[in-house]
Amino acid sequence: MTMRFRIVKAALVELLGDAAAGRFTVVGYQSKGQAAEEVTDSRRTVQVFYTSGEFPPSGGSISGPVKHGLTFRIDLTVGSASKGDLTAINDPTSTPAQVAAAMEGFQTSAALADKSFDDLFEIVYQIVMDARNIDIGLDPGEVSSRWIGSVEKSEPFARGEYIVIGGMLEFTCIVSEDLVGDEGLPADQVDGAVLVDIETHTPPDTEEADPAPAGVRGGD
Amino acid sequence: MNLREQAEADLSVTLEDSDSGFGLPVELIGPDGTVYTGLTGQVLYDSTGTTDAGLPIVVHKPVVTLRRNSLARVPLPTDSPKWMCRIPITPDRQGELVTYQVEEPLESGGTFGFIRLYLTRAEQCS
Repeated sequence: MTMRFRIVKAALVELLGDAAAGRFTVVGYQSKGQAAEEVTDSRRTVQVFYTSGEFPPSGGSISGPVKHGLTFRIDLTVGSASKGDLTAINDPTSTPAQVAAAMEGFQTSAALADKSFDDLFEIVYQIVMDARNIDIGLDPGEVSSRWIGSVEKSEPFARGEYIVIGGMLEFTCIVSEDLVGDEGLPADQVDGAVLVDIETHTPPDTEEADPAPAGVRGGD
Repeated sequence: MNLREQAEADLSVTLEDSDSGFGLPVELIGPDGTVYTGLTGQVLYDSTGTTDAGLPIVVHKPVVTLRRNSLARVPLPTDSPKWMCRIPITPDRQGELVTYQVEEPLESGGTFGFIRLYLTRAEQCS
């Protein structure tokens, strides 16, 4: 049986993925690291992963269900280059005045990345906190108290041909977990006919063999 | 000539020798749109780091080091708009030059005679 915190995580990833519409990429785990090029512009990433949980003691502690206060981290990572009319700058026929004008209009990567982060945060927040998504796509009542309690934007990553800004949202909710124990590993499956021989048992105080030997012979 | 002056003169070899040294062609574009070609300098790449949120990020850090005495106009931090720079991104001296913006504060190795530019990739806006 799958615990509900994993079902909630999957639902959150699906909710964000379905609403992304090419504006960002959803990753359902903590990645090992990313190249700056992987997070620029609309490739900016939203990483969703379960980060902690709380289980307040309750009467259901023997056989369940128990309350599980979930905390998910939603990491936002954006990147950007500087942007402008590069064509005019690289055109060998452009006059110095034309080149200077194009350079004047160039937007710095820092400004673009800052705007991109704010934009991404707004999109993700509105998706998750939308009243229509109060159950995060699950059946009504499966999740309660869903909330984004904080957002944090980090300092731009120092130096580099792309500027990268990271940040995170803290998403919390409460679910009820059943206590069913661990199922262990599934038994090996055997295909085809099974032949079972059962030895007859003669009680120690009699010498007679069982007139009706027990046994099962499988069909062909 | 004292050692410091000798070290500055040696930059013609350590920074600018592209025939037998590590020098690569560099072009600078000044705030007034003037393109300075025929320069040679050191182009180096570094990479990796971690964001404040703890996410490992691999980002290349192109750095250009030029001899100040070879520049008709030396970039200043107060120049506006920001300078732009074209450098090769392969070891090929004849290779294509890619345009970058000098968005970050430059380092002025004044008494050693060099200037160091930290580059940001420039892209065509859609």
